[in-house]
Amino acid sequence: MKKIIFTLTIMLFLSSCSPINSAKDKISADFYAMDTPMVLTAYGDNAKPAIKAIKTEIIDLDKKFDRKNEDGELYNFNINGKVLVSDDLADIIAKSVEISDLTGGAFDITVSAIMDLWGFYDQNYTVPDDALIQKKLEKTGYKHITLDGNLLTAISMLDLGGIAKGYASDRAMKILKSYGVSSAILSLGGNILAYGTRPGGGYWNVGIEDPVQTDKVIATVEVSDKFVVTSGTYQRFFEKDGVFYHHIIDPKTGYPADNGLTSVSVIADSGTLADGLSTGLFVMGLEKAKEYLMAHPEIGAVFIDRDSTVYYTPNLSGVLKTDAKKTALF
Amino acid sequence: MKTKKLVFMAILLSLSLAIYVLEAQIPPILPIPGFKLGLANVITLFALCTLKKSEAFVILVMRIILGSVFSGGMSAFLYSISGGILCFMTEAPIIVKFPRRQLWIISVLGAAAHNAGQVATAFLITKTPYIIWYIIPLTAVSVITGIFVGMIAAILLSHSNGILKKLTKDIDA
Amino acid sequence: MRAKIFTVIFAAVLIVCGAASLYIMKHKTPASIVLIKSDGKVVRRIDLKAVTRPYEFEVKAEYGYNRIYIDGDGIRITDADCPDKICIRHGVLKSNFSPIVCLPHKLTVIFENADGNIDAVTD
Repeated sequence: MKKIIFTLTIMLFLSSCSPINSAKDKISADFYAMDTPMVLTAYGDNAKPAIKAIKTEIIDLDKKFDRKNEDGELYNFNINGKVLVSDDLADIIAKSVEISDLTGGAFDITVSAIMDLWGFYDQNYTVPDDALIQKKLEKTGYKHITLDGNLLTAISMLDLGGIAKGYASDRAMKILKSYGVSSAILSLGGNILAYGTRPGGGYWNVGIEDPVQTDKVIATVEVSDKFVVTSGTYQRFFEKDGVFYHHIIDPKTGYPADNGLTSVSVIADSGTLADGLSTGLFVMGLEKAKEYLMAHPEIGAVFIDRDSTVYYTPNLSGVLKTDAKKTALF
Repeated sequence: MKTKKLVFMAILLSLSLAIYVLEAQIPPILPIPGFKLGLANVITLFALCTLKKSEAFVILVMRIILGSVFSGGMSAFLYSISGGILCFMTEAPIIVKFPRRQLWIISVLGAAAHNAGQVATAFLITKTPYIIWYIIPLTAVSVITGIFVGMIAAILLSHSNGILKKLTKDIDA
Repeated sequence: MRAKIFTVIFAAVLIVCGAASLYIMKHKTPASIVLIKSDGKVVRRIDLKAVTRPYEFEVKAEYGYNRIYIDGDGIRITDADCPDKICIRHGVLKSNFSPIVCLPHKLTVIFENADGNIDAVTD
């Protein structure tokens, strides 16, 4: 009898200690910057000042990198074509050019001039005249960008929309480190930084959006201290005369990269690289991307094609979960 | 099977069916999915005490099938049948081991088993694991409803002792 | 003697489960994205934080409909043609310990983080 009462008392105690994290030390901020919603969440002691510092940093970078902002640096550069720029702008452009070199020009910050022709800048979608595209192609290309110290020169206008969020997430990681935060998950418009471990310990679970049913997740990856970035056709697109045109333009052809892929996610140690590569690998297509990834085994990548088949790099085999058809890339 | 026994079983079935359908019309006291008094279990207990196990089982299953036809439909059937069978499997083997005045113990255990079966089915159907948490309030409530139902069954049994004696003579024959 | 043991056990179960139920009723899941599942499949995914104006819609399933209403207080079911109306009486979704459930219609409403434990979604 005593035993029963004892056991039940223990049970009562155990049940009062709920296994679910009460998340009292959770700090969140959500705001709009870089044309996209930002959701920042951090846990633990220094979470509050760290989140505040990250928010300030993102808004500051947005001002500099936004080509629409008339008081911004990039706006000023796009008008003049030759300007002495800040360290931040010089740095992001140097890194962009680096990624362009890595991807053989598949990622290119000068492609925006052609994206504008298609109307992706102001949502006035149209299929441009081919002659117009060919003419514009002559005046674009990352090779025309030169950086002499902080003196930036280029013959075409630049748009950092494809890299700024990734770059900002790298900065966010630095801030989290300097504040000694151990656990944070940031979404900069879908660019994810999964920092440290989950508050209860263990890997973060990052979902990859289903390109067909965009309110669902097609796969998840378990990561820690990684950046996860996706480029997908479903993010911006239009239909004209029954043809589907999306916003991932191949810098070499001036047309949307039409290679059967619908989304590419990159998992890397650098946000800038992950952001640039997600676009670059998409443009390269499955076969060329495979060659690149075989040479860079530290990068994880997930490809989804029109049949919703999931292709993944073998370094993800233990951490990728999906109910869809899946195939290792090599 | 003797006609009298058949009639007796039919009466029990129609009684339990009436109770079941009537209970389905009353809005539940607590807004917990799966919660109900389980009054129809009075008849299952009664049948277990007066008939063979297999016969009590037939009454239960028939009641659930017919009850779903009258009120509820297919998904109600799935919840009821899984709960009902689990409840029966708990009650039937132990009922002979307890005196009739302790019927409430059987009834509580049966009610808890019924909830477990129902919640498990609800989890399988909705594929929402968090539904399992409802087992906690449901178990708490099943202690009370189980005692209540068990006591009604005991009262029913003691009041029908005279009739039963007459009946059993014929039924067992 | 046996009756006494069962009395104690049942009383203890009643106290433990009753206390846990009270905890469950008070608990709030700190999440803003809700999933509406019909017949085991996610049919809607809504970020409550992104709701600026109250709105409602119906989820129709094989056995009937549930009208779902969303406003600043959260998400709830305001109408349904199920027999018990438990989903309506449940009120606003507060916690994944007590998801909104309409058993007859195989419908559940839950917060997303509990389902598959996804921390963030890359798009």
